[in-house]
Amino acid sequence: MAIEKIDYEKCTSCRNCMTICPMDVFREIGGVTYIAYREDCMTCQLCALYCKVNAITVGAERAVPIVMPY
Amino acid sequence: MKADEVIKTEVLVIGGGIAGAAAAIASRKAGADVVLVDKAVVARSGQSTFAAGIYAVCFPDRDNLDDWAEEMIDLGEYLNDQAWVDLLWERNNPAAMELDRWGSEYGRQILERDEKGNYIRRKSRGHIKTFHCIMNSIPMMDTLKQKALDLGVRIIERVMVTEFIRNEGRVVGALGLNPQTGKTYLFQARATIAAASGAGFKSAFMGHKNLTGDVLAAACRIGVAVQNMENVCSNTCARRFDIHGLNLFVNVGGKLTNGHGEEFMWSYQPDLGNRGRMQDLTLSFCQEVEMGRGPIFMDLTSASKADQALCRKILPETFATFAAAGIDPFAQKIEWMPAFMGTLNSGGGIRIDLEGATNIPGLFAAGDITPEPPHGTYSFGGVNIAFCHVSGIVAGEKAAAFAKKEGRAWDDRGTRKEIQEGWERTLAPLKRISGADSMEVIFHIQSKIIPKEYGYLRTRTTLEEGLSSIRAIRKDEIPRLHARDPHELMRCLEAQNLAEVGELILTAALHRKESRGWHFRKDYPYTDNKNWLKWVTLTRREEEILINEIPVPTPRKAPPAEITVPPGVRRR
Repeated sequence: MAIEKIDYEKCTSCRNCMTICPMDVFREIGGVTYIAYREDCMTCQLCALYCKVNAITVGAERAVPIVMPY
Repeated sequence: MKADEVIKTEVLVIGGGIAGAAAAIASRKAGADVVLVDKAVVARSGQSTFAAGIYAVCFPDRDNLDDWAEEMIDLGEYLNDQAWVDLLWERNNPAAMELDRWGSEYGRQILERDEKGNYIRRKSRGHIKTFHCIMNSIPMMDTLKQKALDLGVRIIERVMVTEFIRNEGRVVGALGLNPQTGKTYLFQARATIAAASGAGFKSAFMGHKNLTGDVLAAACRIGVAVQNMENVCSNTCARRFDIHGLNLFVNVGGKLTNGHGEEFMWSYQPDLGNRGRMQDLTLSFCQEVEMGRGPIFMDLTSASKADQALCRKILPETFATFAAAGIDPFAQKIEWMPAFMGTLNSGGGIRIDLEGATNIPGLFAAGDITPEPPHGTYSFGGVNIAFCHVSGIVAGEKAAAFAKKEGRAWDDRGTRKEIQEGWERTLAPLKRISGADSMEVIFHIQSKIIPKEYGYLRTRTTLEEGLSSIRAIRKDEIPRLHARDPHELMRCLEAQNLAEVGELILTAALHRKESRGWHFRKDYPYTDNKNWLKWVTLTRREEEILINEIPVPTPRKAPPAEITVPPGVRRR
């Protein structure tokens, strides 16, 4: 669902995902970037597309339910 | 309270999409000091970054400009500002060509060309005599960002503007907040350009969930007039996940089918069928579902191999999502639905004149935060980017001239009270030790704006009930919003702004007693050009909303009849 995980075997802590995420989903503590606000992920895929080491998995489903037109 | 940082400039641009970036560049070229502030990251957020690849470009050497203008007015259902239509097409081609040239200079391809080097031109949503070019959105925004920086624009990212500051009736600056660090900013500017897009209500569709009408709502709080708020826009999208690309999909032969397997759009829009305007599509989806003929599907199985490759190139984020879902859209039908976009796209917004000026001196507006005046209700695909670009350039030029000529020196005493009140409002959710959760409040707001009774097939009863519910949310839930950190504070302010914009939308929808564009009233199911060829404008005065009607001038073209059939009516 939405952003699923960061693979820490691959992550180089470059913080690019935290820099570019339009929804401000990531935070960093002690040099480790983590998913802080998964509920805000809009599955835009930018973090995954721009991750140089393919460490991020973003699922297709929405993070939280939204109201539908019908 | 004192801001952590005070930033002085001649022109402040709020929002870094194509409109804001173009405005910043134009102001800088006109000799002004420019600061551009963005809630997220320029070229990696906002609608321009996620624009699904089409840009309407008119070529005066081979296109008939009158045809383009008249098609736009016909399809925009005569709610267009016709003077803006002429201005748009006058400035569109030079602006697009300059942008494409900048892209080449930086080694990027913005507009797609064929093997002979000619621009690829196609027809998709709504186009009859008009065309659009195919655009690579992220390289386009990377180019504008690089150009702005090269020209000396100072870009400040990850700062949400929360309030405008006035002195003697003029806008002289703004307050801002960094949602990562909590750092506060006071911007002091001689002229300000609001280019931060509208309110998408965190609904379906790709890339717009941080566009919550923050600057639109802040402008309304200081008495800026808004127009066409009843016209809330929708794109269309997969039901299960958020993607974009409808324009390109129908362009490559995508078919919309209902639960009976019928290509139903030909019954609602006999001329264009699946390539109907977005108001035709989304209202027809709702009508089909209401008649028991849902669900709706997008069928791309007949796209050629070359078109499949083009879609994958232009829409990388969409195809990453398809891959994550394990779906090949060229091999199976996808369930499709209206994707509510609120005031985004051609929905309502800040009323501007031909110079991008608002009714408050010192404040200009450009791009999607306006009602996109040349568009009318919604005309054809690719106009949004074209208008946002041109309106950015126009507002940038005029704001720079205003700053040089009429801007005033900063006045500490005259601004103290408004700054104090602004900080109190901005920081209030952080000061509460408990209260309402912003995610929950946003869901409550969505539930009175997005469902088809409020957003698509409206009646007086549903609108009155929706409006009274939104007012109750504003009264009972917004003052209890609670944030534990600056990120949550941003979300609380987003909830507050969505509720305020929602109230304006339902107020205007209740006022307009006819059907036109996306505004379909089941109790007035026809377009009434005799009584409603008018713009409805709204202005906040404290808690009161003043409603005004402005007759639409028709110097180029008037409606063909007093009563006409609106979108969303089955014609055969």
